[in-house]
Amino acid sequence: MPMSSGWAGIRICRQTIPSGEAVVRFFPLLLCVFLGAGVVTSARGADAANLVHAQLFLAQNSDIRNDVPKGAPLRKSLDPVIGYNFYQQLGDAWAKVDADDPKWLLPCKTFYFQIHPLENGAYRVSLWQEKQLIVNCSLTPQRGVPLIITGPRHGEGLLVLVLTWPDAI
Amino acid sequence: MTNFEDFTRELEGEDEGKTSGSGLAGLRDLLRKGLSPEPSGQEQAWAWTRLQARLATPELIPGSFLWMRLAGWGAMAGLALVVGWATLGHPKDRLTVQVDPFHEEPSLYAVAFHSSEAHADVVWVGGYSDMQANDPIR
Repeated sequence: MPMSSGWAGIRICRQTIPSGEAVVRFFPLLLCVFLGAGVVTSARGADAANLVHAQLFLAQNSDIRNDVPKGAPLRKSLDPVIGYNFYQQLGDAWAKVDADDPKWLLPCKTFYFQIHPLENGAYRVSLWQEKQLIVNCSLTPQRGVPLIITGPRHGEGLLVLVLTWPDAI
Repeated sequence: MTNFEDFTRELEGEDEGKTSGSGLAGLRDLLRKGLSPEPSGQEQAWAWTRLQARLATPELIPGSFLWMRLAGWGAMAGLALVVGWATLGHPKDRLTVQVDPFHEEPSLYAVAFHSSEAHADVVWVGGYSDMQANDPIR
């Protein structure tokens, strides 16, 4: 059989198994597309996640004012972690954090945050109690994923600090 | 010269039908096979089907074209993962926490984790001095 007939046979083979062959053939292209989308998303996240909202709650089981009703998105995050029935908001604050410009965020004068932007859309968050630094944490925020930080016990309840990035990707 | 004479003699003998059981009989058989009729269309179709079936099942033999191609894609995927890891960061490093070592309460501790149930990042800080209910939070 001539050589040309053999190559035609290989071509016929490729056409007879399109699904697996197509995946193998276009895998690098798909990989590049996904990776590119990830890099773009990360870069957008670094720009867009700079609006920060801080809230301070007193969580208790006794019947106090409830500022986070059941069914609210934040309540769905607080309940499995904190586990109290009522969440009274004691204070909140907003800030827009720019690159190379750390911001103070004071939901109250007793507990407050310092937010430092880092590279790749990450932040270093420092929690202060009056004039004393308590913890430093670094995180990359995500949309709809709040950062919950527990505070000290207060009477029968627990102080809870929540940071959210509404513009995060 | 002797060999040539023997060969000529043998050929002449074959022509006259004297050497029927000699080596030339094998040559005659070969000639007969070569002159046999061509395979039928049905036989050709079977042969073509067998060839197609053989070509349609790629074999993963080390060094074969398909094997080398798969190895190439694997290497590219590995490279892309390394680049992605370096670019986007490792997911485990997304949330870390450290208690201030100069804090006056040595019992203070902090644990950071992601709660998939709560869909939240959590920094659990313990070891605080309790606040009384009448302590003001300004």
